[in-house]
Amino acid sequence: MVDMNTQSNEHTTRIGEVIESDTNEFTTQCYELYGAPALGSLVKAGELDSVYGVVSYSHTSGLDPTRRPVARGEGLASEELVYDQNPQLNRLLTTNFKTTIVGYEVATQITAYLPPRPPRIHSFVMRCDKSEILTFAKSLDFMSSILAANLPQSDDVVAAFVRHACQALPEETGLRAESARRLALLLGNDTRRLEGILRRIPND
Amino acid sequence: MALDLERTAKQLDAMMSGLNNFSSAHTDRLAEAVRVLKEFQREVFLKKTDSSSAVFQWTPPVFPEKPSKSIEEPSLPTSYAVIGVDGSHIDVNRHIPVDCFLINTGTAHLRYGNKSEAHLSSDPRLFVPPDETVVSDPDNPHKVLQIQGTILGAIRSVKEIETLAEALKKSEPGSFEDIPTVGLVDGTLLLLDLLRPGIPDFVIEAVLVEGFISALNDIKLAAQEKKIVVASYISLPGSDEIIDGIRLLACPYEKSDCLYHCGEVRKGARPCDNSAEGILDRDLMSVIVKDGERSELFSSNFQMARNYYGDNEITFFYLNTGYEMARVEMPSWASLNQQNVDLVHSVVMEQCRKGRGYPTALMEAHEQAVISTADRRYFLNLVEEVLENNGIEFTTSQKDRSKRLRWL
Repeated sequence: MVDMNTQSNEHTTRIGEVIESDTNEFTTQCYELYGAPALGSLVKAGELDSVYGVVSYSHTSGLDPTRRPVARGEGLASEELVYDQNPQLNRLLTTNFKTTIVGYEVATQITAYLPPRPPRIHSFVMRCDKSEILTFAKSLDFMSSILAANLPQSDDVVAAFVRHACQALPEETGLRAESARRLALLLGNDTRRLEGILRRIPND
Repeated sequence: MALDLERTAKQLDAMMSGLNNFSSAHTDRLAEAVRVLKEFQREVFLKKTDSSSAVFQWTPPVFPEKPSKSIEEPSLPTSYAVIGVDGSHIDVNRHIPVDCFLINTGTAHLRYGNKSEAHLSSDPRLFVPPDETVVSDPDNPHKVLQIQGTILGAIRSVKEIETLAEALKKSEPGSFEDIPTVGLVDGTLLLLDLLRPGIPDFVIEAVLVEGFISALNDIKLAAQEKKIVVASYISLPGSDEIIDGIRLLACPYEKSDCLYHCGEVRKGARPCDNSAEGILDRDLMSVIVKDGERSELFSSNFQMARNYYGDNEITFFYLNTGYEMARVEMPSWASLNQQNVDLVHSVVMEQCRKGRGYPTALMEAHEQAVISTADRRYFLNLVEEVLENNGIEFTTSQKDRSKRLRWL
């Protein structure tokens, strides 16, 4: 039997659909312009046996790569007016974001390692709830794959995930300290990099 | 072998020297045309029109009282909508085994002011043999005309205006509020190509009367209940109808009988040429109409068109968008109401500002409609696949095959 509450909740947390997918990451096209979740957020793709990922990159551009946006706001009082007076922009620009895959769900169990297959194209992409964030915040195994991915923004993504997890789970008081310990283990004697990441995770 | 640019450039140089000579004469003629227009007297014009109606070889429009007036830009409504429609097509390809064609119609519905929003869509329609690719004479089923070339262009115009009529009738998606809405198509509302000699009456009836004019009538009917108005926008218009009127006014003879007085006179040496030859309406209006302003309203006077258009007969004004002198056409039932003309003027002007010289709604409709070279190729591949899946061999002409393979 379909749980109508769950369905409605999923609809409100649905952000977009997968448009590119491989073993390590998937790209989502947002339903709303500038609708990408914050860097480091946890999202999932697929209604069944979801694949989980951490947002590692987002970009907004024209749907048609041959049409370049041009400046439109000269003489307008605010940036908002640019969109008000050019409503087609909301249809012609699109926001996409990339997600590094960190785990998957099988038979209602979440595992924090790569799934056997990446999500299908057009899988719905949704925000995650507190219990899902807690699962990954406790495991933190995925941090090694993000740090090893060699993205220019890898350190920021890891720090942002910990920040979001600390905000979403204020009752998990030891989360920052545990994250710091795991990062220290992963980074070995690269103390400069460790310090750089920890500076991005304030104490409060 | 590629185009021989060296030899082409020499011919372009020769063309330029001809144009330079033309330029100073053009300036003098334009100045004379402006003088004639500024001294316009309606009674004189009407008298000359009456006395010369059957023998004057040009087709002047109905002139307003003060044709040299430039009208200021009216204020824009706080909330309004623009629906632009444009089309693109893949013509019949006689090198493939099926005579089908495709028309893709793009629509951009833009709403401004309170709750601004946009809806962009395209509607591809495939026309297939035997019935959809020909126009048949209802009185004689053996008389058929294959739809291609000019006729296909006209069918596309019909599809565009029908799409606009549908969009205008159901404008305001999800809202009961009736805001002023301008429907815009690209190009002329006067389908003169269909009225050329040689086009059979049953084609004119099917395409122009039952298609294009019927859709205009639909819009007219809907306009009785909603604040909607229809117009067409012509960028860089090549018309010279007003200039035809200048010819009549500049004619020194009491009865402007072209053949009688000037039948033997070469082009360029006729008395009216001093104020008209080589001048277009847009050249004349560029001197008359100021930035952001419009000309007075003229009515096209093509007798053949009048027979069919009825109260959809075409009226037009010139609009100085600040980027170019555009021609805006409206059916006479729409332009009878001054508020409609003001609305079209202010909305089209603002659209040109937003679109940097060309109305945004038409630009976006075009983007929805356009069929790229790659898409044309995919279409052909799809046709090939569908035919072969149904056991029909996809044969092509040796000419087409040779063009595609381009072997050495």
